[in-house]
Amino acid sequence: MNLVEFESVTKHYRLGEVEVTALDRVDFAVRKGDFVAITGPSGSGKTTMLNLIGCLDSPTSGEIRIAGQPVSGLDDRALDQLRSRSFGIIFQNFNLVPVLTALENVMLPLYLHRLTKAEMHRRACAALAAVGLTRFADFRPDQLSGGQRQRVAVARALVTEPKLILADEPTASLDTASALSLVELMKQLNAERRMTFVFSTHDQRLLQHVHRVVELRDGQLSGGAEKAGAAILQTGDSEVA
Amino acid sequence: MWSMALRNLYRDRRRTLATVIAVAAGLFAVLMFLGYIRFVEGSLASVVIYRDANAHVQVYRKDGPEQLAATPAQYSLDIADQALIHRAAAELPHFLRASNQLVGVGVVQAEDETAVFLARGIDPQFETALQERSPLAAPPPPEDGLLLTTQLQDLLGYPSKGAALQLFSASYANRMNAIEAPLVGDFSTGIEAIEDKGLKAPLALLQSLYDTDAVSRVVVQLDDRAHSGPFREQLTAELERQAPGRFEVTTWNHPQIGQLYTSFMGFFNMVFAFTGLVVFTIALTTIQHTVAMNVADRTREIGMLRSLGFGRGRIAGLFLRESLLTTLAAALLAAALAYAVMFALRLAGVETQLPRIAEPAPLALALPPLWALIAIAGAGAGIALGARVTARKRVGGEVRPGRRGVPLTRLLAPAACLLLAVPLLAPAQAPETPAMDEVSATLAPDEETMRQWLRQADLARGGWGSYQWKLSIHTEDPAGSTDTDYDIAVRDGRALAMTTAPRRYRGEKILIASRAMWYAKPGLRKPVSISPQQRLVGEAANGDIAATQYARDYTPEYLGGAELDGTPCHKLRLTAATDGATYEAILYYLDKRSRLAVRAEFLTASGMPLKVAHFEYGNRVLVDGEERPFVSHMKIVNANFPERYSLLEYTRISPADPPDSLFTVDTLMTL
Repeated sequence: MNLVEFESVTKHYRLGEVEVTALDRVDFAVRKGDFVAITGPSGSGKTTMLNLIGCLDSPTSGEIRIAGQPVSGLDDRALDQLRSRSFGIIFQNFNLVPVLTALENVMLPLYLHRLTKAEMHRRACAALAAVGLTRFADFRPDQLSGGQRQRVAVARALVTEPKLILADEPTASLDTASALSLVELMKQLNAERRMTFVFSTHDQRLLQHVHRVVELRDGQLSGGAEKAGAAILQTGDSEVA
Repeated sequence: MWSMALRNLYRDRRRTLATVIAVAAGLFAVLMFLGYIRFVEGSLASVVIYRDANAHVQVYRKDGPEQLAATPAQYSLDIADQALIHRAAAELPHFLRASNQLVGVGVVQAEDETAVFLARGIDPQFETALQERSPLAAPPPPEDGLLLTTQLQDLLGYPSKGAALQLFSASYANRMNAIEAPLVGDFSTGIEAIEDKGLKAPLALLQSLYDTDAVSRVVVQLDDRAHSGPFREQLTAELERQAPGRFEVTTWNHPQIGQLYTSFMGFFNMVFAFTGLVVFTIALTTIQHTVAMNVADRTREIGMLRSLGFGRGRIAGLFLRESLLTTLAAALLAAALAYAVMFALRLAGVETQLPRIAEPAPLALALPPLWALIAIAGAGAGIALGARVTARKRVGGEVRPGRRGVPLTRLLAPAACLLLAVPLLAPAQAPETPAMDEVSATLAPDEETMRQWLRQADLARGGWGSYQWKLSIHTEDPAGSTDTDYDIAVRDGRALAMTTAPRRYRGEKILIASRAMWYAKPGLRKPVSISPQQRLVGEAANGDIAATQYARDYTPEYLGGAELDGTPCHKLRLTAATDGATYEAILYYLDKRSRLAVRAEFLTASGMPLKVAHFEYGNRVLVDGEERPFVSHMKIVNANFPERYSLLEYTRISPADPPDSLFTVDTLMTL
């Protein structure tokens, strides 16, 4: 079963007087265990697509299904629930809470999971260990490097063991070494824990590490991307299979 | 979440500090004002309860608080009532002591000045005990003297302390009475409208003036004023059980009793409500502004939390926690500051002027922690609610546009304006009094003719010439009926009335001479001068007892003919022409044939009827060999309460030649 399904999804924005079409009748699917990059120039609709997958936004028309369930009928509370159970999200600017330590930042999503303090602590430590930051558990974000911060963000995304991790330009604020190391980490998690990743990027260095590339142009999946995507998708499929 | 809120506050410590200071300043103002209100409230309550000797709970006859001033006798408590109330009150919890009190009106005289008084008779021992519990004690009253307000003393030309004052009034049996007592000091009534009439006397002394053992009310002192309400209810229930519908129980803050308290507190509460609202609005706006700024500064964090699955409410809760912590810090700061300032004020011995109390009182602001807590909790809850509304709205706006709500502050502002406007716009309604004009008659006899008629009518009631007769007055009143007999002697417009029965009133004398009137009785050092208005005392006015000379005292005006019980009459309107006139105006009906007065309607200055008199002429006297009719019966009915009337019976009329010396003030006491 597809984890995410887009069926003719369109999204319009109003920017002042102008109506912008961010996505135009997009059909798209992500399967469990996928490692998908969405690429394209600025303004092509990458972030919109991620927001729609993460249920942070709703489409103007078309239908989105998460694990087979249409999201259009869900209310605020159900959407919050869906986000907290199903997704881990990594942002370009890390978006850590500045007043919390690395460990506390990682624990944050667990507050919605009715766990004991000890269990929360155990899971957060494990997640930090998974990204190699055990030593930095008590550091606050402003005491960490950019790469470390993004690793904390990754740990936070995976601490709830979500079905899908979404990452919006996760390497954009990192130097090459950190960026590559982050992609390695993500690939490792994908391979070892069968975690599904969907991330947006226009960093060509990363694309060669990705199983499947979806290219967006003016709100539509471009023909070339379909091909490359298909080729890689097959690889991915074979890997998954 | 709490630690996160705390850390966020610390991170934005400058903004937090500014917010804390702003809110603390507002809360400090509220707490100080609350302390001051409580101080004033407590002081006013003490004045009403202790200084004015109202005690905590008062028991009257039903409708007593309203009716006592007009008809003290009818609404008084007799001995049996008093005993019942004392017994019932003493059995209830929180009872300390009960005491009888009497109120009454009359005229006080010092040397040549007279003035109307409104007296309160209080048991001096009770008042001494009462004052001991008061933080604002007045000097306890003496056992045997009078306290007068300074305004009343002013009206009497400031008699020296110790000077004997004469009190004159009608007894409960509607008989004239007077007593003498020394002026011993000052006091204040606490009610502006009667401050120029205030007089305080020992209960027994005042009872002797009204010649009664009844009292106006029984007051009960409790151990704490907080119990007044419940005590009143219990006592009401008990009295109602024993004597249904007979009594009325009030507490010290009844508008008729604690007028000072209720009026001042009404004003103060309004000011406090308004000030509180303004301060609250400012504090709320500050907090809302801070929340809005925090939210705006942390959109990314909010977005992240939303993406993690945190609901709007949860995220708003974080900002709410921050607001609560800010308010808490502000509250602690404000409370600490307020208590420090109150302590400092006490230490510095700052004094303030309280309404109604001449000497300055120490500004002893006191705010029980519970009050402070309630005030702060109230403000905090309001602020938290405002913060929550703002936070939810702002946070919601990050994910999807929220509904546009009206800011609470925008709702509060008109509410504040409304609150302020109500007392200002309360219409001042002046009652309209319709002008009542009598229609003037067209065919009027000249004034000299009318004066001749009046002389003739006066003559038949002993107004002129020299006579003596016996007068019996029977007075009917809901409070009881009385009978009194007089010997009357008249000589050319002067009259002397001497009481002959009942025995205990023998020796009382009323002298009317040269348009003035005096009252004397054994025990008084000198006669009491009675002003024309005081002659109205009693259903049969004292001015009616002796004789009347309308021809001299009034100006007639012809109002035309009228028919009374088939008798054609002249209708005259007599208007007071001299200070000696008892009434302002009289509608006078003269039999057209006999020229005798058959009916008189006595009016007030505003033309309202006071009493109606009917005359019968069954007596005959021989003057200069000529037999003339003379009044035999006169019935005087209260125009407003027909069940109150007096029957005057004239007997044994004979021409006489009393000596001039009988009609002088100097010899009045020696008769």
